[in-house]
Amino acid sequence: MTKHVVTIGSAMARIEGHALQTYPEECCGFLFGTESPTEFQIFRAQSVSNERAGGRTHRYLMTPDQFLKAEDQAEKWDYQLMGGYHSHPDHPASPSQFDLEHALPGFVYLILSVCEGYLETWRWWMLADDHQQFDELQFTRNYKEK
Amino acid sequence: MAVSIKIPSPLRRFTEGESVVEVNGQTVEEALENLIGQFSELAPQLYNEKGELRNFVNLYVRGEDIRYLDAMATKIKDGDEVMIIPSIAGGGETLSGKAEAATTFDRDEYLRYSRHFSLPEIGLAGQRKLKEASVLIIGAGGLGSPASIYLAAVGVGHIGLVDYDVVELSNLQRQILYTSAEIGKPKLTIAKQRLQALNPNVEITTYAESLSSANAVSLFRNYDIILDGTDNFPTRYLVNDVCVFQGKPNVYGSIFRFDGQVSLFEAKEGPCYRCLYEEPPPPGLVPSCAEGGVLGVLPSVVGSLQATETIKWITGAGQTLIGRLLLFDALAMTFREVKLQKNPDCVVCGENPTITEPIDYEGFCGVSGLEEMVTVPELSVQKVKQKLDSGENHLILDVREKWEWDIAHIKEALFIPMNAIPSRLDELDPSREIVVHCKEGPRAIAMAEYLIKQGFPDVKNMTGGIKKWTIEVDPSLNLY
Repeated sequence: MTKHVVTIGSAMARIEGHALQTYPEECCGFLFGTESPTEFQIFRAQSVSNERAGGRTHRYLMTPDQFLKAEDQAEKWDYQLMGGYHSHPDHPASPSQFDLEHALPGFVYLILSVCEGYLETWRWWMLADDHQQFDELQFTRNYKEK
Repeated sequence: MAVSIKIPSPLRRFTEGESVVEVNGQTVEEALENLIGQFSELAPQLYNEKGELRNFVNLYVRGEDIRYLDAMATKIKDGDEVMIIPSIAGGGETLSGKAEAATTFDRDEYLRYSRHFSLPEIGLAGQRKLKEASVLIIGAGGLGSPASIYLAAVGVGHIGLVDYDVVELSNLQRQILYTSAEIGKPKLTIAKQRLQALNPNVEITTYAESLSSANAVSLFRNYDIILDGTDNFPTRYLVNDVCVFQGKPNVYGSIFRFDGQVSLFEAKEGPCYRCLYEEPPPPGLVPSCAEGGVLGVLPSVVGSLQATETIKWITGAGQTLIGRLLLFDALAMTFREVKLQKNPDCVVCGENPTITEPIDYEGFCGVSGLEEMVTVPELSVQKVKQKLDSGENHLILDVREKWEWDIAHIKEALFIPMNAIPSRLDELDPSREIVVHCKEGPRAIAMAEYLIKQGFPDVKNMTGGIKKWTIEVDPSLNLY
């Protein structure tokens, strides 16, 4: 049984803003939070620059260096580095073959579909145990900050 | 050897939550095997079905990427820390919907680019960027030759070339892509063979057409950066404008006689070509390289500088020429630079641009003549010869350059190079018929027009210039 996802606070709004801002290029960033037996709880997001030199309209890259910094950040915030997000400009919010070939196991993937400059939808994913596909994670709700 | 392996957080669910695992081993490979020995669930996470490391896995020993060391055979010492650090890549489908291979290098490529890998400013990350990048080169001539050769050699993933010319004998003095055996063949056919032979890892796309307002927008769209190797003003303004429209950098280079200019125009951050030159010079005033001459090695200096700027822009190494114009003088052997300012009133990249799509560049540069045309009467070489023989009182005016005069000239002609004419008008008698000639015609027509506008009533062009004269009237002269 796959876990559900909840988001807390302004993380989602910031991610959406980032995706719109980089359109028609892909945006990317890291997700931080905690994990319960049934849920991934996303508290914070950190945008990073898309380090792909070319083809950023349909490709993104977060480097080992950016990953290390994200782990340090997680430690400072006392959260876990739970996953990453990226946008698919003018494409659906489903993982591509390229996403699959590069997928990091155990990592929560949030994919946003931005079409013609407007946010279409977003979906959550995690690599299946057999590495052959992604399982979709059910999104429960966004909890606003009190 | 006892070493510690640092596990990234997403993989800790396969190491019972451990972030650092102590293992033994002489090499990175042995250490990983022993790690998997302790946590068998890690094996399918780190290796694919073929037993290769998965794409996201990067391994570091003592802070260094093992790809720069001896890869999996890298020796480890007691107390070393081996880090598994993911890089995260992905993205939407390509337009073709095809799965695209990850940007990796095979064994030969590691050797081929080894001198780049050892440069900290380029390294693996920079070389990947080069492989992922696409460059469109406008013109496969003097500038395009060295630029394309170097960009292919250093492994730019995709190079596009635009040129519709065939190889001519007079190209070989400077266009180093071509050889004597290839005269008469289309340049791009040869260029593609040469570049592909130099580096088979590079994708070469050729466009055997002339760049125009009609095709530039769609051609540029497929490339990250445009390298301008053109030899004429209409194309240069076209390249500049479309780069500004699409937010793409324009690596500018130009050559004349012994002088070269290079800059990087990126209107998002600095000036564009129009900020530097709002308008082209009047047609005919600046002779082309064919007319004015160019030192054979000069385009290789300038084209190589353009390739350097392209590589720096792609990899992010160093400071680019954005906002600076580099001036090279081969005779004095000096490089100077001048600062360029963005023009807030620039018609394409300024605050209120008035040009937002390609215009008629031939018209803008006066090549096809939007302003009122002056018709220059023509006179055949045979007629000129008759007039000479009959002793008519007319003046033959040779407007070519001194070196051309020295190769061949009509002995009755008055020699004034075109650039000197405006200051030497008093040497011309308006009451006489003036027959202007150059090598083949364009300069003579431009100067005849100029003289007519200055009020000389009877000015004609000798059709076909001294070339036709030599062939049809006086074969004893040298052809050039």
